[in-house]
Amino acid sequence: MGRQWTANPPFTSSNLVAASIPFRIFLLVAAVLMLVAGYVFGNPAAILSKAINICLECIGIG
Amino acid sequence: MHRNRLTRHSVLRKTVQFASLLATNLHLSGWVTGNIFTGASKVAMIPGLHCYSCPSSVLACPVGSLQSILAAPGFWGILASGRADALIVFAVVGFIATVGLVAGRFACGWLCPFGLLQDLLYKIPFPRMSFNDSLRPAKYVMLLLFVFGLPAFLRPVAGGAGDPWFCKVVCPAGTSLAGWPLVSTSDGAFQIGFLFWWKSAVAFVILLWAVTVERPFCKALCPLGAAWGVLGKVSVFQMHVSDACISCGKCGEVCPMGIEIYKNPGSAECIRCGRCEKVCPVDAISHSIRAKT
Amino acid sequence: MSRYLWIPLVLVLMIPVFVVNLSHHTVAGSQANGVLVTGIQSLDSILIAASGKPVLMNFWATWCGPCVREMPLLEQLAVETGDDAVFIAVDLGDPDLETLELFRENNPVGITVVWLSTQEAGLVAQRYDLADALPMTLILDGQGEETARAIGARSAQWFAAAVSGASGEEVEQVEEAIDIHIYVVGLADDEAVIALLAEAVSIAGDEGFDFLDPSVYEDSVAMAEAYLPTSGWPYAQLCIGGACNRPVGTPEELRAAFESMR
Repeated sequence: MGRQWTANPPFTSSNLVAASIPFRIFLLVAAVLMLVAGYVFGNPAAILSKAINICLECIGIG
Repeated sequence: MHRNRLTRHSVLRKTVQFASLLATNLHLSGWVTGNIFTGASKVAMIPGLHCYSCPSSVLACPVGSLQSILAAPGFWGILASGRADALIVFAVVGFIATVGLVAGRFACGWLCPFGLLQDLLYKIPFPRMSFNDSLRPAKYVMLLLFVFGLPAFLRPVAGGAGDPWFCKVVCPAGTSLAGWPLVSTSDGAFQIGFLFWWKSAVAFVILLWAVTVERPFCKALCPLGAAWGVLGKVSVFQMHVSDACISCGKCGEVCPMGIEIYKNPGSAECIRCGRCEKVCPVDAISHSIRAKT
Repeated sequence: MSRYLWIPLVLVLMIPVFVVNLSHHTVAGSQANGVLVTGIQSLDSILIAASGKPVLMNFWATWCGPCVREMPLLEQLAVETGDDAVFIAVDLGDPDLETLELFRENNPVGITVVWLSTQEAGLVAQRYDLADALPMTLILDGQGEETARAIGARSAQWFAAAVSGASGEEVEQVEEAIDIHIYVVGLADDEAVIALLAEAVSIAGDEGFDFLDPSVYEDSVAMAEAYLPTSGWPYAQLCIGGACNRPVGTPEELRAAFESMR
């Protein structure tokens, strides 16, 4: 038997989350791994150097 | 009864928002000396829009970091050769993706300092204006063009550095929390020109807008909100509206983003603040990791 | 039409992108690289060698667009000025030296570049009271005294005026006594220290030296404030104006350093 829709219009397919739970958790884990790998293989000082030296024109002073 | 519930929820949310603001701005003496914080904590990013040139900020802005890294001279070449200075871009993208894939734009509603600022500005008694929904797509252009495309590809001098264009010509958080305080504490040492007046005008208009419209920057322009909104479509936590919904519209009345969640629970505009859950008379709205209602 | 209000909003915000890009200088950069050295000691050696001439010290980083765009202005001025002034581009925003080296392969920097590690950059920023901002330019006169400072990018005219301003003062001040100062660091009862002290007095006079004992707390604080090396003592460090020589261990080396600076 198909789903019983109420008289209210809102309950359309948009109410259903298309992606399955395992898939959504997989995406989150992949993102965390990317974050960790970025810090491990990348140079965190590359963020730091921009955060402690203001490029004035870059924040609109100029 | 539901009004009390909403009030308690608002107090909780404000507490979390202020705690996030404080945790980001532990270097309060910076406001007196006009010097920014230069400690190692600035390798870590804040889940929200908050300029790392703000005198008290102890964390890095993910949007600013991303643009600065993309704007490096020969970025794509050094990325292709696997150099550490470019690989750090994965940490920034991974950070933004991680936050968004937990619960979409929840950081907008609970953690973002500029979101809090807009919430507070909207408390000022002032005639309200309506918000034109057709402005909302602009934030995707901010993300794709100003944060990604222009910094990564526009090079005024071939082979030289690009510019973080969102920071440079748009970001009102940078102007109000870094540009203005730094200029006011610098005793006229900075050269002020077209860019400063342009950004000041943009920031002034947005802050004034935020007094008459709730969270206009989040609705129309925020590139982080754009990214998290899209990621929220596949985030672990989701909003749900059950069959119990009577379409009374109360959720829409309290929504800071001006959406009607019962029509589209997975809306990319939803900042997952949870106000609708508390005000719903039949408790039809909830959040969980379930796939279906 | 009203469905597409976001388009005019974006177009308005694009205005400064065009304005700023069109206003960029189109001065061609250098074709060949100048010298690249690393570390505070190298910077100080250049400053010592420049004693008597005005110095333009530009603080920059490869990722800073405005810095890179004003570099050709400095290179051009350096060519015009010739030997009358010294130009130094101090890179204090690239933690990885290789980033700078790769940058110079594609974008030659004609003036002398000094690369500093993040830690050294912090020390130099403290020494000159820099404002955590890039680009930033200091103009020092022949005695190492700061005569002008710019936070943010400047025009070719500004740089030219600032450098000629610093050399104008030099003419009348160069005959005055050069401010020589010697730091002697070591344990008080060390014979090598006593020899260094004797030489320091003969060079700089009774007022011109400081004796610092690293085993005394107040002295170690003073050493940190003066950016003196915390290891390798006993040593003596000779400074003229704001420029300091590298530390030396014997009276003979101290005398030689003094002679070379005169």
